[in-house]
Amino acid sequence: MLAELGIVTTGLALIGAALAALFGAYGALNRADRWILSARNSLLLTMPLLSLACLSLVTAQLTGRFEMQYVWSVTQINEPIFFKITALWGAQPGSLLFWSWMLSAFVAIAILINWRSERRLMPWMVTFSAAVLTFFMILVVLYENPFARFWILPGASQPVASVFQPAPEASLFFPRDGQGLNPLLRHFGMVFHPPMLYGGYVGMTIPFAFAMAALASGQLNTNWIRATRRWTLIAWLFLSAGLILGGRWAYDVLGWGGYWGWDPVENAALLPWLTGTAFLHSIMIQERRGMLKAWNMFLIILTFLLVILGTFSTRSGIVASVHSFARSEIGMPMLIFLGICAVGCLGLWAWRWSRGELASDHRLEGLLSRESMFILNNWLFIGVTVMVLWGTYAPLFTELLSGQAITLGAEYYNAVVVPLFGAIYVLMGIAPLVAWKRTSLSALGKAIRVPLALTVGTVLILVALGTHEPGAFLSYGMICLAGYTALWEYYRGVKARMARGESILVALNRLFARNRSRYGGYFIHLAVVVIGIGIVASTVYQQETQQTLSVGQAISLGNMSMRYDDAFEAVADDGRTMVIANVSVFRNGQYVGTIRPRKDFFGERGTPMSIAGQYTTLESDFYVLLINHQGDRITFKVYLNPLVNLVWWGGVLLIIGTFLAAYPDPQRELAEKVAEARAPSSLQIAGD
Amino acid sequence: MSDSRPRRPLIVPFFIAVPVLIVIGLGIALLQGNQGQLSSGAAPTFRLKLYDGGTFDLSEQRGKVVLINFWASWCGPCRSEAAELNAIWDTFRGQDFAMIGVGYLDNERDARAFLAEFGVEYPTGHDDGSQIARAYRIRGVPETFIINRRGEIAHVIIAPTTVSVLRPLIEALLAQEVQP
Repeated sequence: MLAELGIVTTGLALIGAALAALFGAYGALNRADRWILSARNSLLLTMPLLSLACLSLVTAQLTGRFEMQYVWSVTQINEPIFFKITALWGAQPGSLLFWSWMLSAFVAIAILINWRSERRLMPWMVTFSAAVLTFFMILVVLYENPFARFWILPGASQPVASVFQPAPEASLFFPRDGQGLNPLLRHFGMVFHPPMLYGGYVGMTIPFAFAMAALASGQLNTNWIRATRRWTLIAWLFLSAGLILGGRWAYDVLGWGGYWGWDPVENAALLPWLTGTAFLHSIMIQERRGMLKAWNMFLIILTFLLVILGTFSTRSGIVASVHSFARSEIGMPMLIFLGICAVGCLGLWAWRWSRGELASDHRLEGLLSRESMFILNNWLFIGVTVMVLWGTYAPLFTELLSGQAITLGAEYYNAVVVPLFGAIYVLMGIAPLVAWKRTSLSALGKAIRVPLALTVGTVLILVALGTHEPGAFLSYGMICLAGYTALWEYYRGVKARMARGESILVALNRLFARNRSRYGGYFIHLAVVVIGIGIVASTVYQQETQQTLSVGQAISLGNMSMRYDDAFEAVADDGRTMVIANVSVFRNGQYVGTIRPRKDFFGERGTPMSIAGQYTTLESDFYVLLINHQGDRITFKVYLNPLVNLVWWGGVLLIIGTFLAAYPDPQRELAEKVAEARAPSSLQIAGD
Repeated sequence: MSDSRPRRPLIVPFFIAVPVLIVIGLGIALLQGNQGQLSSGAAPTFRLKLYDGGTFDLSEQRGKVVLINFWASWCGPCRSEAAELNAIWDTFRGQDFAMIGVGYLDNERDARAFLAEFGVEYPTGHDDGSQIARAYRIRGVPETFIINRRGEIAHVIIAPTTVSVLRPLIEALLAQEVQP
């Protein structure tokens, strides 16, 4: 029954999405309101349908309906309930369904919020988002159906998986137990990391659909940006949180003492984040000065194409990665979709551009201006994007062209990407102090005096305290400049308000209320500064050692040391066996606690997985891995990662900052709407 | 970003041509990679220059059971199976058994660090140009092939493996008589 419910609801959702795309396009081209309304309602209906489909799949996972191939492949009778639920995104078919459900939900919310306010964009917005959903539903229904069941044909030795009864005499096959969730995914970081990333990917579809609606309808004023700024921020937030959680998962589970490995799949998530960050910055110029219209359009299309490219490379298995999905049949349809999107969207964009409809309202007035700083910011982010893109796909393309695959490892990224990020930090330190339109070097010099002096002071103190690597104190300097500038901007804003008699808290509150995107943005800058400090310290000053110990022996690393006390074996609820070591941790010779690094062995094949024991302080992470055990001798690998926790805490700050920037501002929005109602043809008026 | 000037039609095709070329390239790569996994029949022979200087020639191993492990220093699961593979080498090294680690898309420094870190003693070398990986049509790393005494692929193990999986497979193959 659950399988049938899923088959019917996903089938109907596919039909609903396809009809919405067709009706929407017809209605928008012919200005036929009834068709547009039908398209809207049909698209809204996909959300409850897909919710039902997800619910029936989760119910099947919880109740152990192993005749369903997907349930069999990702759950097991004795698995904790929690993992039985999260198995929804534990493998390809379920995660595609979950992805489609998220898309339908995001689209439904966007339609309900913007239907009245963006009347002229909505027909095409519905059409484009319905087209994207149709494509993903085709994958779910025709290629990777999570509701396929096992059937036994008379005379056959093996059951076959099929959505429908393959022959009248075929009967359902009920396996006694399933295979269980991939051990690597049984971690809280992995539980939330995929939904976050999908939220980011899917969320980028909304601004993309609005941008395409603007291109298709010719409503090329800045309305589409106003409608999508918050969506872009939300999608960006999801992507950021997904990246940070993914890093945390790698740190805890993959057992190599690091959190970022320039793995193709990590890069796939980083790429749209980079272009999305560039977009969030450059739309500020369009909102304020009516410039970079064509560029912003290109950036959001590029972001969407990178989302599809990332999904394609993760799910088709085309690039070798530590955590890609198994190679599957959906590679070719995804690539065709990517090709259609690239040609269609960029073609439409180029057509509008060549007709001069995306021309700027203003020209760049001064070489040293806030506008030029934003443009530089965009070039830097695009530079990082191109470099990461090349690093990710270089093996593929060099092999195609020369028959010899060239792989680019961490050295490449350190040499190419790190300097670009350094330049971005420097820009973060300068750009907020540069005025709009034009400014002079002496004005900038005056504005930057205090942050620069603080930075130089900090670097000198660090050098005096023993930071001697030029790479380290240069990096700290660039990062600190960005941080001090953000703090200085807060200080100046608050001071100006306090001069009018406001108390410090009131002043800070009103500062945010007056310009959320600016001061929320500075908060995000501060978070990025904290993350940067964590990354530099934990990369430059990481220490590691590996030794084989008998009971009672110890390893020292920096000011920390560990003593191997004893080890035991245990069996967990879900049947995995664990080897657990008790390790005492000492800091400056003082006992501070006991940690338990362990090694788990999953299933009949005993797939091993190392779970680190960590002793965490704000100052450093003492990270102990159980590598191997023979008798009572154990090989430990120990890392001392200084300030690594700043990466996670910076992530939390970044989330808070994004909320501050995205928090709705009803008064201002009302004012904008009133202004727009008074000037209905803002397209002409906006020109000089 | 060039829209601060009136029009630049020449750059428009560039913005479209680059993504389209990328898509076409990916398509070719996808089609090339879509042939199925090699899982039976004669094992493709190869010669591999080893990190410690010598050369490993698969055709010279006829009559022995051979374990071929594709690995890379950047591959997380390869780390988890390293100790297991060392144990297999220690168990069978005196018998009619050969073992070769084929480095996939790696650079020498990281690879050597990996070998030193795990104390790998069996022969290993880098598969320059991924020739061997392509001949065996691997889908990723780690992958392990076990070749029987007649030079045929007997088992393929995708994903990290363990002593408990490998030992019985190798013992059974060693027990088979060599056909003259």
